[in-house]
Parts: sequence; C-alpha cells; structure tokens
Amino acid sequence: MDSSEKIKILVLDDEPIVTKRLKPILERKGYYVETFLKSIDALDRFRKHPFDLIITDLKMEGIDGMELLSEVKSMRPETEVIVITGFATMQTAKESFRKGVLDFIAKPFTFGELLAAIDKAVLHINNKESQ
Amino acid sequence: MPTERPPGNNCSQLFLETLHQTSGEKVVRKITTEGLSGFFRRFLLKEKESALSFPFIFDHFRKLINENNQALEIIADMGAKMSGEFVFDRNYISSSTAEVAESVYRMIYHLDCMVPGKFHSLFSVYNRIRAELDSELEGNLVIPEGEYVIGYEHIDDTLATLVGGKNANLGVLGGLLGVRIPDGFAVTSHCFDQLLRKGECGIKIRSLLHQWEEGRETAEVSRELVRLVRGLSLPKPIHKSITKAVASVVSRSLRKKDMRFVVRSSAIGEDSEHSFAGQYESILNVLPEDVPDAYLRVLSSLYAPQAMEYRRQKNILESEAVMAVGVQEMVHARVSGVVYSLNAFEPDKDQLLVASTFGLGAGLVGGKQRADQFHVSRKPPYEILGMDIVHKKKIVKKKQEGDGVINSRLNPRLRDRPSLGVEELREVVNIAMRLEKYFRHPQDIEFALDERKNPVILQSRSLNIGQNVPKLICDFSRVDDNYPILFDGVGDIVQEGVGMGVVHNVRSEEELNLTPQGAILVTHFSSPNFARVLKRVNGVITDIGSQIGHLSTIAREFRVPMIINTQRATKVLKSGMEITLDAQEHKIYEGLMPELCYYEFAEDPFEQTYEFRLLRRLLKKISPLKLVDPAAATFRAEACRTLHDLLRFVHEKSVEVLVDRNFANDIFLKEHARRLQLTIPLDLTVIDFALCRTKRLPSRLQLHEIKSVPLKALARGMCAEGLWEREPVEVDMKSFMSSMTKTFATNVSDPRFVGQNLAVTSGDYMNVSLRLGYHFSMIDSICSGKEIDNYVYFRFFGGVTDPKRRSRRGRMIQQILMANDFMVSSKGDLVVGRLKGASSKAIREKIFILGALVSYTRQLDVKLVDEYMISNYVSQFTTLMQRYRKVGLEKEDG
Repeated sequence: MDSSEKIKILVLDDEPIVTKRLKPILERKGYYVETFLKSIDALDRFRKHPFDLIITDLKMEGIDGMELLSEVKSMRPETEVIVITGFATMQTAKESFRKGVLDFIAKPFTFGELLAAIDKAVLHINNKESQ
Repeated sequence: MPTERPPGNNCSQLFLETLHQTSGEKVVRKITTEGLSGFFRRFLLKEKESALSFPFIFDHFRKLINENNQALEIIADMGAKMSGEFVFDRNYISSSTAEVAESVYRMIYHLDCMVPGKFHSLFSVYNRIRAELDSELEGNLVIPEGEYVIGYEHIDDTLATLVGGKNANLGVLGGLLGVRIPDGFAVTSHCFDQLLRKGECGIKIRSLLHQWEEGRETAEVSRELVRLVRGLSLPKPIHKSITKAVASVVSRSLRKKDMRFVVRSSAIGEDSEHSFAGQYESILNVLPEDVPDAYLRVLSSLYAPQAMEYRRQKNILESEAVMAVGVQEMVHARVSGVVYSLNAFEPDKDQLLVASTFGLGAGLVGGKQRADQFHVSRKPPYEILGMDIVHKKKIVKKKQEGDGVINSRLNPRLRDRPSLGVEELREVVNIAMRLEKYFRHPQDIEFALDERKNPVILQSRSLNIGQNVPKLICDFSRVDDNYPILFDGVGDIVQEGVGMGVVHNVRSEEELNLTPQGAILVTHFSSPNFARVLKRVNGVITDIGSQIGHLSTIAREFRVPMIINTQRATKVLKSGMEITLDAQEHKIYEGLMPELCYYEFAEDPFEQTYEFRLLRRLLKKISPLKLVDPAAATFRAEACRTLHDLLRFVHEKSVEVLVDRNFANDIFLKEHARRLQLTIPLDLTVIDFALCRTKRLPSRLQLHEIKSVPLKALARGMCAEGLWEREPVEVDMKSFMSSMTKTFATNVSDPRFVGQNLAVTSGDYMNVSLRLGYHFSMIDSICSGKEIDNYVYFRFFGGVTDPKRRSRRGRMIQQILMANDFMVSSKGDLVVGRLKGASSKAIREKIFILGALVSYTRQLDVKLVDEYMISNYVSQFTTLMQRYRKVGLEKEDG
C-alpha cells in the first residue's frame, strides 16, 4: 500500500508521551500518521493537507480541542474525529458528539480501546468513499 | 475549644463538603489546616474519649472504609498502568497520586475522629510521604531524610534514592531465600547531603561548580573539589555511624583476622547506574579502620574530571549528582566469575554463559584477564553443553599491606584446571536462573566463591540483550498434549506471567511461614498477610479474591503471576503437587513445564519513558506494603513508609477500635437495647441501628424483625438444631476453682450487661460479644454486596477449667476455623480468625458456622479430657455442618 492510499491520521495532544506512544502503534497498523503537540500547528497542517481522521485531546493551550473540532468540521466535514481526554465529563462528551465527533475516549485508555474506535472510523471513511 | 458534646456527624460531612467544593492544591492545604486544628481540639478532648457516641464513631468508621476502598482502587489502577497496555499522561499521574493521598488523609482524619489524638503521629508520617510525592511530581530529585548508614538486611528497592541503585539491588538480592550477598551497609545519600550540600562545605562546592559552569578549566576545578572532599573531617555523628556499622559487620563475620572491606559508589538515579559504571572509584581490600577515609575517597571521585565532563555532556545537573556508597565485607574469593543467564552474544542458542577465573575478579569484569567459559543449557537440569578452559598464568590477589590488589603468578598446577567444578557451576547456574525469574529479565551477575566455595552474589543487573532478540516461543499445541490441564479459563487473571513449582496450600499463619522458595501459593482467599511471602513464590492461586485487594496490588508490584476466583483451587491443588500456572493463556497444568517459562525479553521502550519512570518512582512511595502483620512489634504508625502502609495501619486500627469498644458503657446503646427472642435459652441484647428510628419498639425483638444480614446468619447458626446442649455439663471441682480466680473482663463491667450478650448491628455491619458458658467470643463483621468491604473477625478466649484443657479447646477451634478458610492465629486459649474480601453469600455461610461453633463449644472444654477428643469433636462438628450446608443454608437462600 503506498502512502497515498493509506488512511491519514493526525494525532494532537499537548503531552508528548501520548503522541510518542501512539505513532509507532498506528504506523504498524498501516496508517499514515502525523503528530502534533500544539493545536495551532495541527490546524495549519490540516489546512494544507487533508486528513481522514483526527485524534485529539480537548484541553490544550491556545486553541482547545472543541474549537479545533468546529474548524475541522467546517473545513472538511468528511474528516472523522476521535476525542481523547483526561477530563471526561458528561457535558464535554455531549458537546463533542453534537459537533460531530465519532467517538469519545477517556484517558488513560488501552490500545485496544483506541484501535477499536479507529476501526469504526475507518469503516465510516470507507463507506463515505464508496458512496 | 473543648465542648461537652463531641463533634457530631456533621463535622465530617462539612469537612468532605469543603473538600468537594475546592479543587487542586487548595484542597490539600484545607485538609491540613482543618486536620491540625481539629486534631488539637480533639487532643484536648482526649480525656473524654469514652464520651464519643457509638453512632458518631460508627459513622466515621464507615466513611473510613469507603476511603480505604477508594484508595485501594486507585492504587491498583495506577499499578495496572505499568503493564504497558495503557496510554496515560502526566495529568493522570499527578491527579491519581493526589487522589490516593487525599483518600489516605481522610482515612487518618476519620480514625482520629474515632479515637482522638491516639494516633496523632500519623499526621506527620503522612505529611512526610506526601511531601516526597509532591517533590517527585515537581521533578526534583528527592533525598529522603533517613539514617546515615543502613545495613543491607534493611534495604529494599523502595530505598533506592537513599542508598543508590547498586546497594538497593544488593539489598533485594539479600532478601531472596538462598542467595548470599556480602555482609555490609550503605552510606546514604542523606549522609552525602549533610556532608557536601549543607553548611560551609556546601557553599564552597557550589561556588567552585559555579566557576566551572562559567568556564573555568575542568581539570583545575576538579583538582580543588577532590582535595576539598578528601580533606574533610567527618562530623562526629557520621563518623560514629560508619565505625559502628563497620564494627557490627566485623562482629558478625566468621573471619576473625584479615578482615577487609570493599568501598564502592552506588549512584542515585535510575539511568546513572549504567552510564556511570567505571567512572567512580571502588576501593578493594580496605582495613576496617580505614573505611571512613575510603568513603571520602570514593565520594571525591564524583568530582573526577571525566565524571564532571560526562555530566556536562549528558546535561545532568550538578544538583542531580548525588552519591551513596556501599561498604561490604570483602569476599576472599577463591574463584570469581560472571554469569549471563542468557548468552547475549548468541541468544538463539538458549544457553547461559559463565566465565570464571581463580582469585579476585577485578580484571575479569574489565576483560583484562583470561577466563574459562562454560556454556550451559537454560533448560533444567541445566546440562553443561561445552567448556573452554584457558591457560591462566595470573591471579589477582589482595595486597597484604595497605589497600588495593596485585597481579601475581598462578600456581602452575592450577593453570590449566577449570576454575569451576561441575557442582559449583550447577549451583551458580541455579541461582542465576532464579534471579532471572525474579527480575523477569536475563541477568548479568557477578559472583565469587568464598573460602568454603560457597557462591556469593556481588551484583545482578538486567542484561542488555539488544533489540534483535527473537522471542523464545514454544509450540503450545505440542506442550498441551503431555500435561493434563487442571483449570482452563477459570477465575480472573490479576497478573500475567508463567510460574511453575510445588503447590503450597496455606490456611494458617504457621503454614504461611513454611512457604518454600519457588512454591505456588494456593489459598482460599487473598489476605494481605500473604504479601510477605510473595517475593519467594512463583505464583498465586486463590479460590476467592479481589482484583483490587492488597494482595493483588502487591502481586502486580512484584509481577508474580496470579489468578483469583477459581472457586475450587484449594480443593484440587494439594500441597506437594507439581503444577505450572500459565496466567498468560489462563491455564493451570499438572506437572512442571519448563517450556513455558520463557519471557519476552525484547525491551519495551515504554519502560524508558519519563512518564513510566515517574509513575514507578511514585508507586514506590505509594504501593509497597511493609506493614503486613498487625501482631508484629513493628506495626506502628512511625514504621509506615508508603501510603499503602498508612492505609493498612489505619484500616486495622479502625477495626480494632470497634472490636475493643466498651459497648456496655455507651448511653446511646443502652437506650436502644432490645432483647432478641431466640429458640435457644440465650439472653442476647440487640441494638439495631436500622430499627432505632422505629417508634415504640417492642421490648423483645423477633428474628425476622432484625434488619442486619450478618446477625441473622449468626443467630441461625447458634440456633441450629443439635448444637446447643441443653443440659449443663457438670464441672469438676478443680476446674471450677480455677475459674473462681478470674475476674470479669472489664468491658462487661456494667451490672446491666454482666453475663449478657450484646449485638450492635446496622444493616450489613455487626459486632457481637457473647459470654456463653465460661468463655467469651467476639464477632465483628461487614457483610454487604461489595466484596472488598466484607470481612469477618472472630475472637475466642477465656473459659473455666485448667490451662491444658483450655488450650485443647483453642486447638479444636483453630482446626475448625482453618477448615473453614479463616486465617488463624492463636495463643493458648485465645484464638483469632480473620477472613476478608469474600462474597456476601460466603460471609453469611462463615458467620453461620461461627454461630454454630459458638453454641457447639459452649461447654466443651470441660469434656476435652484428652487430645484424642479434639479430632473427635472436630469431625463431629464438620459432619453437622455438612448436613446444615445441605439443609439449613439452602433454606436461607430460598
């Protein structure tokens, strides 16, 4: 599979440990992965380069996850978003889903949980493409 | 201000509300001030301790239990994060650390409300541990306050920041059964701190280091620093500590003359040990009186030019450069050697590699000396597959005068002889494999054979085997055929891994103490007591248990494979059976299957991340449990080193408060006391909290009116048919006289309650004191839907008749309790049985049996005229219980 066919995933979390650990595991699964620690950089990159899936934290310096979510969805509605957060409340979960988030995962999570959510997202992405 | 009435329930309510309203750091400060002022207020109230009402105490107890469980859950959760399966971040680490700490604080607070001022030292112990945790979280290197020197026998890995990596490692090795290490002690980082950080010397050193940072020549600064450190005269307390420790090693040693020491650095910090290897000085062959000087010499090597340059290159701050030192009795080695438990050069071959030579090993480790090599199979019985015996011309010996070693010529007769005999080799290999199993990674081990040719382990560290090692995988389908599967997919895995060994079925303290090295511990339930043998077992299997109990937490900490909730392991796995526990594939096989005992050796980079190491450092101050035996003299607040210790201590003491409570003198209890109508002639006074609000309670209660689940079970047991012997047994004169000399226990001194039996209950809680016949029993229990809350505590003592008969009865009760899965400890006629963490149904069953037992043994001691009667009565009782299990208990469930 060459890189143009791969599902493109953008991972954004202000804690380096999260991106550091997710990148190799997602790459091993055959995804194309870019990681960012700052939401502004991630958004810049997203403007120039479309991603199929965004995995993002919510609570961050500068543009927070919620704002980023709105931006992404208005720019490219077909991009799927999975939220990973350490501050999971009913309210933030509801708001994320209203804004079109596909899945909402509380930190800490297992790789299994995240990979299951990604599988679901990939299914959505492939369905949209075939339509 | 002291008030006539103790603070009511609102007090703690208010306190918790304050907690919930604030957030973050504020919480901590609030707790501390509230706690302290509250504490002083209550301290003044100390005299009025007895004035605290039972509902007040009970309320705090329940809250304490809640906090206890919450804290245990978080600790377990944090421990589970070490497995590598989870993605977590710093926020998780800091918030869960704070949550556990605050829960433990609230437990201390609740205990202090129950017995004001009694355990006031808990606050300062807590503050100390909390400060260390906070400091770790802030990223500071914490030098814990402690002794100047600590003997190896007291060192384990939680002390790593105090004694350094090498010393901590030796301490851990020394704690393993059958592994001998050199006698000795660590001079701590606290000592370093006092010597080189504090006072005038600290100022001088900092100023020199500052000059160096500003560009002054390394060589020059180093020279001045080294001169400064070597020229120090040790302050009296430090000098005294060191010479005292040296003297005690000398006095323990079998060697009466020619006593020598090895003084070597033991760096602080997890990464530094490997990278600094060889940079700091080690001094061999030091005379006892020269140890203090040698200590300063080793310390000064911290400022050797190459060490300073190295730190500069690696961006290691000077504030992080801290050194502890190890002082060990020098082994007068006949043979020295190194073992790689897995030949790192050819890992595919699955062999151990042993290299050895005659004399000291000084040149061996550095590769300067020729050595014999032995290739040994890693599969038991560890067959020798090849040896390469070299011509050895030289031997390293200690100098006769002064310190240090010399190279001399080896006796020509020995030059072509193998330096290790077959038996010696086998012994060394056995130890190496055991250490590999313990550390769950191939080991690089330095050893020596002493003058009696006994192996002494000088060091053991993880072998760097590189990334390209193929995992040693075996064919499970082939393996399965040869060994019967005893359990397949039964129970819950607490800790993954494979362990094999001989089953050791434990039902009492005594049996626990006999746990052999390398056994598979099989028990009915998981008690925190087991933690103390966990390090020497290869696996744990229980009938019942909890993922978040003490033992599970510890098993994860030690990475001991463990499966719980098998329901019937103790029935199938008998002591002496050889089994293999595969907590990876969730199977238990009959027989030893060495094929399964390989580990995934490839290093996981996750363990190198900052977050992992931070979590591990924090967990070392949170989760290890030292305080396991409530009967030990060391079971004191001051001895708590971790949050888990505190939690365990507070929990145990809070149960004691209830157990020992003077129920008879409680005004509240008296007002609400009612008689319970039973089918046996027993006066049982009941105070049921659940009924307190009921207006116009009848003076006599029927069993069906009782709300308390455990009390119902107990009453059913006591009234079970055929147990209560209605005719009083005739007491012979001698027995009667011996009972006359006894006075009533103080807690039944209220005339209204003398001779009475009292039950205090509240839904799922029960505390019952019984005085039946001539003995006293106390049963304290929680029996709820939450297994982790549940426990039964049974105490039996007293009794007419001579001591011999009494202790016979004690033994009989002990046997019955053990057969019913209680952890039992006894002293003469005092028998205490404990059971924890079982399901509500199991607890009810046990309480039923206790009730029956109390009735059954009411006057038995008078009949226990000889030893033979014990087993007679035990089997009679067991038969009766089996009958009831079929009939009585089912009725209850229906």
